[in-house]
Amino acid sequence: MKDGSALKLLRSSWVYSFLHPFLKGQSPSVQFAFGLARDAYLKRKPVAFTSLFFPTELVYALGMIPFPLEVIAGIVSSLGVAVPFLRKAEEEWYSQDLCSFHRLGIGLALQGYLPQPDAVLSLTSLCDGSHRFFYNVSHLFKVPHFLIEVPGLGREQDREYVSGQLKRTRMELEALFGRRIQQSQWEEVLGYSNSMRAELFKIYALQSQTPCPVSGEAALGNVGLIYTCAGSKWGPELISAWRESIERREDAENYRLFWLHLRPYYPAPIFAFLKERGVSIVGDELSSYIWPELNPVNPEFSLTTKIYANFGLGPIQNRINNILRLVRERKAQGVVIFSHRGCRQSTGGAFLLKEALKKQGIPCLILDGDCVDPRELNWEQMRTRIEGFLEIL
Amino acid sequence: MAQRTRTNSEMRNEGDKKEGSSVNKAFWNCSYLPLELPLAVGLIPVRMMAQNGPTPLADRFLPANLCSYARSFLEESLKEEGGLFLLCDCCDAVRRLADALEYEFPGKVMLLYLPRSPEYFKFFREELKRLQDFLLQITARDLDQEKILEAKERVASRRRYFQEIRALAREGLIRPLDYFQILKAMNDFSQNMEPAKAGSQGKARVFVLGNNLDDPAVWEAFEELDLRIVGDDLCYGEKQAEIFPEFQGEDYLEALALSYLSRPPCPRMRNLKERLDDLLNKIQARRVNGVIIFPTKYCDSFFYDLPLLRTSLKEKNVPFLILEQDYSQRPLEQLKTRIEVMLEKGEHR
Amino acid sequence: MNVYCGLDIGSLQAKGILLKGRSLLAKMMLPTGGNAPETAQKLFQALLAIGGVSPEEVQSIVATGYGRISVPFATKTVTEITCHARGIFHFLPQVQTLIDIGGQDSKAICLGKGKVMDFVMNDRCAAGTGRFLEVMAQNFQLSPKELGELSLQAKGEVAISATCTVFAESEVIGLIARGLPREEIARGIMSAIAQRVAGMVNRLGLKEPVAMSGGVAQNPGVVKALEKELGVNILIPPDPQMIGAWGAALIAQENE
Repeated sequence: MKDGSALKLLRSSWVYSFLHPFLKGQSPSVQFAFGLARDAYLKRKPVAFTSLFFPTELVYALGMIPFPLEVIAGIVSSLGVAVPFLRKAEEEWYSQDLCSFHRLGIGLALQGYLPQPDAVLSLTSLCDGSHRFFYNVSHLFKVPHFLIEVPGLGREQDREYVSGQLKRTRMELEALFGRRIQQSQWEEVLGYSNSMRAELFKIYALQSQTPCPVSGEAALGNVGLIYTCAGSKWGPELISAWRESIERREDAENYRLFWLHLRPYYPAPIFAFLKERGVSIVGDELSSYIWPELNPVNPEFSLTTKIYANFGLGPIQNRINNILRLVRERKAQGVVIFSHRGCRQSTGGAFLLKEALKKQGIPCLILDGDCVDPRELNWEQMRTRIEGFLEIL
Repeated sequence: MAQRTRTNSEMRNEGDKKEGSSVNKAFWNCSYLPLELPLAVGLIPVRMMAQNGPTPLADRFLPANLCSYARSFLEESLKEEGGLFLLCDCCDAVRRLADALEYEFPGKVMLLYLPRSPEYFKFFREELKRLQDFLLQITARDLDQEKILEAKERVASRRRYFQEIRALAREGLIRPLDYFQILKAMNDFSQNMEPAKAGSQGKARVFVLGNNLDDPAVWEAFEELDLRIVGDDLCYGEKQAEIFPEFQGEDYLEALALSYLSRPPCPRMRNLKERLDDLLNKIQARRVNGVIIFPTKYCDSFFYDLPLLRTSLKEKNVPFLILEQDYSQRPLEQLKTRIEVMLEKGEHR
Repeated sequence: MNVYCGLDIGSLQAKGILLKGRSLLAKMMLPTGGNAPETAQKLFQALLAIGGVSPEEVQSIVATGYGRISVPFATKTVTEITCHARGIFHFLPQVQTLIDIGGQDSKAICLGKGKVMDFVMNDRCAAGTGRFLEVMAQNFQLSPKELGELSLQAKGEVAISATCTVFAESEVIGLIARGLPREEIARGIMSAIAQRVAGMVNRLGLKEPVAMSGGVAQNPGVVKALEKELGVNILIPPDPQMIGAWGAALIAQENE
């Protein structure tokens, strides 16, 4: 793997010292991201590459830094620099049919832009690609890969299975880093996570208002934040700051739509177009998984209930039931099913979802696209579909 | 001129005439499913084979960029009158396939959670219990150790026959198309296992690697190129042909769970290194002239590991060819040309 | 005044309709070419000339099609989905499913009293569009319509398994070279396009009566193959290529 000038720069403490004064006055999310990058690249703490849904509470409890590669891929794409990394992965025989979040992550790894991890932590939920991607990454960096298998149904035996694996992972990581999580650490970390969760409920309440003052584009952008800072002291602060930044809405609201999966993170005219048409995105699937308050008495079991709050798990009926509930709660008129190319678990169910929602009188638009690869954007086609759908509404 | 290759549907329908209607059939997708259980309750396990061509019925449920095998499975299922669908939860595509099947055939689908290593065999044992309960409830039959042992022997006898054929194939005495037919019959209890016709075959020793390679025309193309199939790493091939030891103790479900999970791992399993080492050992031991890597398009489990597989083969100086099977196109002339080039010049894509 | 205009600026052909009340004053079709705004202007002027009206007499202009944003003088733009729905409702109000196969895209629209209830589009792949037919027809040295007529003479069919237009062309060349009956190959081509389109329609959920619009609706071979694939009779409106422009003109009138 390349260990070039980019990595040298990212690993230079003077860079962070130089940038630090500019942080004053910046939003909490910028400050959080800065701190995370600095601690990861300068190895101030052990670094764990994590999958999106891996419970970061465990990572923070262990005194580690989570470095969520799929979220990082989204950030790199939002900076408009995804293509060279995607191409690098493709040159190394990672097929273009694979999820672009993962191809971008591999590209970053191969080009030497990632910090050296100490472990790779992932779940089998929600997709197989994630499991294989993180295995590849662990192989590239020659660090152990801890995989938690999550059976879809969420029965008692499934939860015991997951909880047992989390316990075992925790014990192996404790042995690896020579530390033991104290009860007080669990209490602190789960406390932060619960406070963040309480703040999220306030966001949901705002999204249910008419007109909806919460920007759908921002909400979809904050999905990564929700899953990265759960368990960190930044968690409640960031969500609270987001809530405070939400202003009273002045423009007209013509349509209310609920969004499934994620959005294109690279610069694209979609959300400006939706705003122009008076469309409110009153919620999205991934930031709407609601888990019970986490209990430090049995932390692994509690984290298991958080994992199973993901209604993308199991038969598609689970997803359908929850989407119906959210559509009613948020008073949405229709649903946008964003079909991220390469996402088999979500896109594979798009037609079934649409049929089920249609039967309930909820119109759906399946919007084909890619979250991270700007080469896949065909704006005119996408625009025609959106316009056609709004004309139906 | 070679006889027109029968399609898999035609071959299965001929099986239908021999064994009865599809009501008694248990269609399955993954070789981790213990066939002993459906056999023991009197069902006919049939591995659903993919067909070439468009999938207009399946298109209603599954998008084009999903595993072609899953789409074809659904297409063929939607043409069936009855039957059960016993699926292992091996991947995202199968989960969505199960959703679509459940929509069309409610109560007739069982999706088993499949752990990714033998370490979790006890969990799999519980899943097999769930499968067994489902089968007993649906068929209203009973089950005992004797029936399980009978079923185990039926499965073992097919696998023993396949092992004999495999040994002959390595000597070049079985043609690729016959190898394929017997491989299929090993997994389809609606077909008889026909004796293989002997034939002198095979200038070039090849190892076939992929997941499901269900198109008989591809195997016919191998035959036309005078290839000798000295081994395979397919979903339902050599790996499937392991004969399990006698059950120790009373708990046959636990024995089955451990036996099935302990076989050489497939791409969706956890232990890639073990899988790669096992493959490379086999490939080197069988002195191959080339490896044909022919996975199904959109198989994430396979394609994420392809770069590592490729690097490993290159390090061992093994010539290989990478293709994609999507069951909608049949560029056989291109396929044959590329195989020929590989054999002539080493690695080619 | 009472004069209304609908302009359907497609990727290959630009179509226009001029209405006075409910009566047709003028209709016209031009190749879009490389300059859609210029073509739109030319088309509009040609319609005015045929209809004998001045631009000031036109109360409203609705532009549709992929090139709709290239019509700056339009009063309003509406997607071709809504315009096709409105257009077919004018001619065949009973239709519940409309299949539109154009030169470079195809779509299926589910209708309820002329309003769009749902739709599915294919505009990423040439297979299942008029382009597929053109490519295939070239190998027979026929027009697409002649290829369709040839297919009707077939007693049997040679299946085309490739779904990609480029690979299907190779396959067809091979079949012709092998001397297989031309009409049977032609019928296979019609089936291939029908299967592709049927897949799209099945996703939408077929409801009868079914109609077709777009240039390919004038191809008897495709219509017959699609009827067979879907198991329904397909209604063809007069001048199926102009349905989008009709719909746009009617919407212009109704919005006023």
